[in-house]
Amino acid sequence: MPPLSFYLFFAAVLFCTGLAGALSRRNAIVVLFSLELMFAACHLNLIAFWRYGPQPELYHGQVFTLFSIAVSGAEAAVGLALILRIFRHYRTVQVTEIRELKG
Amino acid sequence: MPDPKIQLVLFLGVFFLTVSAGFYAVSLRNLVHAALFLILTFACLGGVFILLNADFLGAVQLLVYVGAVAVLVLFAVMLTRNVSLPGAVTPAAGTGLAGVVLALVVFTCMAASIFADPLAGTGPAVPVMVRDRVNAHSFEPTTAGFSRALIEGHAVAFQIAGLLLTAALMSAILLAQDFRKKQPGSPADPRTGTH
Repeated sequence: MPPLSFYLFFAAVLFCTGLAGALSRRNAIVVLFSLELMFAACHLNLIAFWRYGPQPELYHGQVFTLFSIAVSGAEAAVGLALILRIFRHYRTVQVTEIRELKG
Repeated sequence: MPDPKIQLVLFLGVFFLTVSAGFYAVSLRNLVHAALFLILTFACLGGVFILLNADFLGAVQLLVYVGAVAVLVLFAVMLTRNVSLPGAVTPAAGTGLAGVVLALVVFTCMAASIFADPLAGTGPAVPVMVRDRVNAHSFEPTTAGFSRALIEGHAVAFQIAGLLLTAALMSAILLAQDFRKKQPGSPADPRTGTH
């Protein structure tokens, strides 16, 4: 097995790719992609800690990951529906164009 | 798969594939290509889960992300095509760079803490006995034990997760529905066209 730090490094690379995308891209759909990437990195971390943890036979890490996958699936569905709604209203998905509440 | 070298090679291959696909998913201008690279990232992550002996969650990852979220994402990309605003695509210079720099700083902190941690690598924090047991039972199926742990220990949370998914999907349908076609008396929106 590769050591735990390899998987944590993997998740860190993936998380920071998502972070850079979420902070620098303007398209709301790409921002949602980046959020999904960050979610995936978190799932990878959870499973890696489950695998290398002291009690893998209790499956706590896997149970937590399953619930996290359910929540991120719900987030993706609602987020994409919101983006569709915003597109219908503003005719754009650029987050810099949607600034009615900006002071 | 008992050979640790094969596992390391598999890990490195799937690492580079996932990271490059994720990079393309957030950096490509073409949204359809970006969505396809995102799907590739998720599929590779399912492989990583299987490599970590979470075979059931690997299948769940493929079903949920490569199956369901992929369709959602592709439909959202297709439905929000906007070819009439070419000027809005180019971002203002400078602010995007700040986000990338911030992400790099965060990554540096994360990597430093990962490799400075005594838990990392083959450090002494993980007991040798545990590592031997994990290695000895490598790639045994986990579905039976996992489902038993889920139903016996977390049955209520499981039901609540189902309720959450139902509520989220219903609200997504409600949000994405176009109510304007059901109101014939309302003034027509000049931006939407008549067809």
